[in-house]
Amino acid sequence: MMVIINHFDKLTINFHRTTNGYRHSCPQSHIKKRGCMNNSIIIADPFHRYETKESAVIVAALAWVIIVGSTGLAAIIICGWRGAKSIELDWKNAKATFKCR
Amino acid sequence: MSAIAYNAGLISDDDKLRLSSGLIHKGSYIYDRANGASHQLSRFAVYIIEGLVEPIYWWQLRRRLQNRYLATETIQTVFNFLDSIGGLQVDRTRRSALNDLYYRANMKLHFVKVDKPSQRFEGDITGAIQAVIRAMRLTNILMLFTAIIAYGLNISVSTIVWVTITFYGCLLISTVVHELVHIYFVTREPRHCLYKPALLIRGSRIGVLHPTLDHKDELLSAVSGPVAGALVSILILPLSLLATLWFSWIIGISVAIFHLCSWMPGFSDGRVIWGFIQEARYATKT
Repeated sequence: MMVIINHFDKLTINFHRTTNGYRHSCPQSHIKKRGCMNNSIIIADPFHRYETKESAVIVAALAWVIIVGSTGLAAIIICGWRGAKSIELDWKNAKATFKCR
Repeated sequence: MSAIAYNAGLISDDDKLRLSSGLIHKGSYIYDRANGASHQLSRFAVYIIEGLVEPIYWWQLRRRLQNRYLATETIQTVFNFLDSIGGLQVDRTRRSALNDLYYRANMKLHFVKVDKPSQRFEGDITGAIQAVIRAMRLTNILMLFTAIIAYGLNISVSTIVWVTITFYGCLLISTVVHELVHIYFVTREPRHCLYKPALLIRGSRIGVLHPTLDHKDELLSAVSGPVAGALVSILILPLSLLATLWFSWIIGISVAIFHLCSWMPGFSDGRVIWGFIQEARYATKT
């Protein structure tokens, strides 16, 4: 039997992958008494859940910077460093047009 | 040099390890102040955890554990557990950071996923600022590259400098406010007075680790955090009236949208809200 901890999200816990290490053969009643340590290194507290409030802001900002940077980089590759260039982005058709002058 | 691999990378001899603040070791238990959890430790786990109460170099801890004939697998298990709850603080030297980088690259080439190490910060203003600055490290490096690219695109140096500063400041302040709002909803409950929420970083992902809230508070917190962040970022809109900062409205609106992205189901704010909507729908149907 494994100690199952609910609601561990991406940010906090990778228990699913690491649970092997905490696996034990105690019945649930023993776990509740917290007295059984058969074959387990650590028994995670089954009564307290790890809740997180995770925000997407920095991940989204990172994606934004990568989009802006890669578009600029593409323009430099096509038109050269410091050369006169313009970029037209057609969001509707997901199309970018690079014009070198 | 001897190193140990665990889920979040490689720990080399020069790395200084310690338990994160907020984790208290007492006897055969480890107590987490963030949510009040008490994790039970085996005799072997106690040997490792008691060594981590004070900062210690890996080579010192390794020798100590070798004297107790502890298996590498046992040490890895404890490190993996600590990393999963953000309980292991690893201070790396440049050399060991390079070792870690090489290890990660090598693993990726072999299609093995290595987690990013988690790090805890105090759940207060200082901790929030430190956590956000830390989480923004990769964004900063890419912003610098983008600034160089923008120079190559013939954009004026003053515009590049101002865009970078405005974007960084707006993202930093609004994210700190976003996280502090989440912390406020935890600390305002008297029954949580013994707990101290912590900020947890894993790569660029940032979140607040806290005890379970009431259903209503959980929803309020999930809604208010992104809204507060978005409102703060919109505050910079009037700056676009200044000739040198005309682009501020683009940054303000973009960052506000980034905050509202937290309502996507892939993030915990979104999961709470969507879970609530689903429950409400189910209740209406039945």
